[in-house]
Amino acid sequence: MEMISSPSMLKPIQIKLVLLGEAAVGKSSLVLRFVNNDYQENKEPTIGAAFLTQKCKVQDKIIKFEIWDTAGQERFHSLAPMYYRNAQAAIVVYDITNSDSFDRAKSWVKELQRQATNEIVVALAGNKCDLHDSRQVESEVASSYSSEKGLLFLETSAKENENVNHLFKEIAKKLPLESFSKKQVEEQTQNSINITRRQDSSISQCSC
Amino acid sequence: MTRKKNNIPEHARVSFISVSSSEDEGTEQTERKRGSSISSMKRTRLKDKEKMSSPLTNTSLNTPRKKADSKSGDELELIRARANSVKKEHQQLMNAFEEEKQKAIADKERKTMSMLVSTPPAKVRNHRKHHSAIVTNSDISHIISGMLEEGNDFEDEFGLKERSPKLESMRDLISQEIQPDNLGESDNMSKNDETSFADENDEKVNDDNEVDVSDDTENNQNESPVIEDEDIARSNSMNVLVNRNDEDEGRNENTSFFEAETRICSYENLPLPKETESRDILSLNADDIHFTVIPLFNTRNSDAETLLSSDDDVISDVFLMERMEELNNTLEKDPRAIQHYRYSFQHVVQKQDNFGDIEWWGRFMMNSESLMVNNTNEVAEKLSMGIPNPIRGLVWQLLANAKNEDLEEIYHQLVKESSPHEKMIRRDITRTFPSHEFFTGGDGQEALFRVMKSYSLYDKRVGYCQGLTFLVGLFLLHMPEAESFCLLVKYMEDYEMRATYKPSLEGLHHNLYQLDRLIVENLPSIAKHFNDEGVLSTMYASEWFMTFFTYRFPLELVDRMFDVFFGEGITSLFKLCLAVLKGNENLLLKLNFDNLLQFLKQSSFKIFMDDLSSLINLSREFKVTRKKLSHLSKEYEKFLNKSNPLQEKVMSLEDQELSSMKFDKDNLSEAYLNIQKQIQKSNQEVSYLRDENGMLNQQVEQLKCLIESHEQGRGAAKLEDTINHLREENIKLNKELQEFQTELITTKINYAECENERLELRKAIEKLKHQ
Repeated sequence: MEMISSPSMLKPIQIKLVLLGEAAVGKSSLVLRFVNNDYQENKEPTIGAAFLTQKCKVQDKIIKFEIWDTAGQERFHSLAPMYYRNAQAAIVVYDITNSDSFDRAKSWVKELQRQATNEIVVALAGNKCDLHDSRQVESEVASSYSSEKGLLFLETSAKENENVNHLFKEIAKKLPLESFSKKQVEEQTQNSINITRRQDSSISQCSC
Repeated sequence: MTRKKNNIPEHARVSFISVSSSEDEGTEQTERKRGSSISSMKRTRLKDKEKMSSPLTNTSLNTPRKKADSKSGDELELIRARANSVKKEHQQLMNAFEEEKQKAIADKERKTMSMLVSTPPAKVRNHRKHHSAIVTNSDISHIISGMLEEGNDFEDEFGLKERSPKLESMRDLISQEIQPDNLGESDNMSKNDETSFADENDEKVNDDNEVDVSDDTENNQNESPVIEDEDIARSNSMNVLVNRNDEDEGRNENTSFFEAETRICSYENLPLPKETESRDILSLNADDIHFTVIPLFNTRNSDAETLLSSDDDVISDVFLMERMEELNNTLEKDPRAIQHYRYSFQHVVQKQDNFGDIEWWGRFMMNSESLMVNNTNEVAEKLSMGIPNPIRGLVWQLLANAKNEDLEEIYHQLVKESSPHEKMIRRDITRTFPSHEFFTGGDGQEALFRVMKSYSLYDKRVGYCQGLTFLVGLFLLHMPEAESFCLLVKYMEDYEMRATYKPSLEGLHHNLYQLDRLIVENLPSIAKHFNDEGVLSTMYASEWFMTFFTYRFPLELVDRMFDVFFGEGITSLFKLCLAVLKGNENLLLKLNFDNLLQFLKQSSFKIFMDDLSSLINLSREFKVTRKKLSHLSKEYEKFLNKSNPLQEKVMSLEDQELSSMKFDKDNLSEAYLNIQKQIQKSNQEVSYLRDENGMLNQQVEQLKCLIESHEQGRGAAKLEDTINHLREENIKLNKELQEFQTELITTKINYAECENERLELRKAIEKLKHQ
């Protein structure tokens, strides 16, 4: 996957992506790594949700990820549907050193498969894989769960920049980009109003 | 001096620092010449005044006093002599000050002078450097006595002949101070004689005619309570320090001075207030846990008049005394509390921090309740100008009525218990203000943890909610943890913020709805733009409500917001939200969705940072009343209760859907029956077809047989042909054989005939032989 560093003439395909998962598993850190190639040790908890974008080039197409990074605490759950509704992709994150967070991830997957759009591409990310000494969730367990549910699965480390870009790349590959780009062109010609449809001139840079 | 220091715990030492605005080198030198130190006697006086004035500590008021007889005539003589010298110095100072004043009046820019308040003269600084970390009493007394003289001069020059009782009382103290003998004596007394000390003080003052003692002061003394050992011990540690400076650039030196010597507080970028010439500062030496108070020393004409015309002429002293007392009490209870003060002064901000009318704040501290009820507008005005940071935490508590010993007691109980939310709180503690010095150390984090844990136990319904740590973090920068806890409880309950943090976040949804509606009404162009871009208030304002802006906004700005909030209540929060949007309106209208969200969260405060008051003033332009809010709240309730037109529409849609579903259901059951019939038919067909299939199979078999037999028949014909052919051949061969046999026979006959001939021939030959 190639990140775009200069504005392109091509119209990017907008992909609404939402990050879900238990508090403090590293959702914001994954996004920060992907968008700014940066890492902060004690990242503040997200309140409500944060919005970030990143453009990438995948197979001759330019994708603009519109990322909604949600708050992890259970009581923010009621805000989540407005972010995963209409999302084309979701990353459900858990912390490999916290088995509770894996259970929570499973319930998110269940909710997404019940409530989100049918075509949504869901990836399961086992974050903090650099902390393998305190691992509580075995890779095989998560992997077999993912293949059973039809999810993408990767173990990542936002801290060590492991598999982060790869994760987004795999999601991009799995998306039916053709149909999205057609749909979006149609929408644009109809000049309809869509929350997720906007143009921006500045393109953030991402290392990949 | 050393002994006195040793008498008291390190953490309980309190200093009294006075700041004034003008001085010159001559004065400074004069001050230095006085080789006396502040005695515990003086401190006792301060203590007395405090006790007298403080509603919190006046339990021992009107205690009968013993007559002090212990003073010897010699000592009185000494005092008199000393007082005379003071008078002389007074004259010198008057002269020196006259020059200074002329200069000041000439350029009419005394304002600039006033700002220089806090830098100690270079000599004092150097002198101090030779001492250990704490400012010594003798240093301080040099300075303060000079200041007091000068202050009087100033007043005289401005025609303020009537002397401020405050100045008088301080002068009093100094004159006592000047007696070198008092030092040891008071020390002894503080140990041995509970009562005579104050009396002696009085007596000395009264005897010494050189020092004006106002009636007020005397009366105060007459009412002074018996001094207890503990009080003396604490007052022993009171130091008086006067820092002055005439030069602007001195302020930077001042910073290093404080940091290097006492680390009282950071004065970088100390604002140059326009209205005040001097200020009061409560401060603390962090390492030595050493409270310092810098009371007002007002030298400006108009302010001086105010001071004199006020009945509460010792008010600023009094409230500072009260504050010190409080700090000491806090320290006794919880030595850890000291941490908060250390940082509260470092975090203050400096740019634009208006120390305001300190006199007024003094009055407020004394009569907060009546002022809040009777002078609402005045209080609101003062709050919008900002609370002086050193007393900010205290004023917040007064505004919120958070001073509650019962609650504090509850806190001290809860802090020992363990909470089910502990794990989650612990996880967020290191993530709260991760770049703030106070919260990177263990102490700040632990305090934050204890408050959050206790609150989660106190209010089990709310428990722990992310975002609260930021809020409490800010409280902890202004006050110790037990008080932070009380303020948090008030913030949640009395300020109607509790619902925001409930597990359902119902209050948040309420607030966001109200905000949306207020934006539509007050900022229609922004509302339209947001709507066009698809920006919802929940996307940017959740963190504003859940952390009271502390999440991203600079804390100095949030302090100012809280000043208004604790005075006005929740309406101000909405006004502030509107003001943030309004202040950035032009830019907001140009931004698209992505940049809007980014900007609102990360940068919307920047426009206010040059002048913090601009946000507050802007917010005051909006009219958001409680009535309006409750109206919107009801509207939202209706919306929730499905009586809203939109909701009704949804309802009717739901009904339609339901009936259509019922219809569908009937259709479906019919269709089901049909399908069942069809299935039966099909089954029959299937069985018929099976039969047919069987027959066909048989036919196929037969046909197969036929084909086989047919094929067999064909083979037989071929064989017959072959056989016939073979027969014919056989016949042919038989004929040939017969021919060959006949030939053989004839040949055999021929052979026999030949044999016969041969035999005959042989015989013939034999015969011939014989012959």
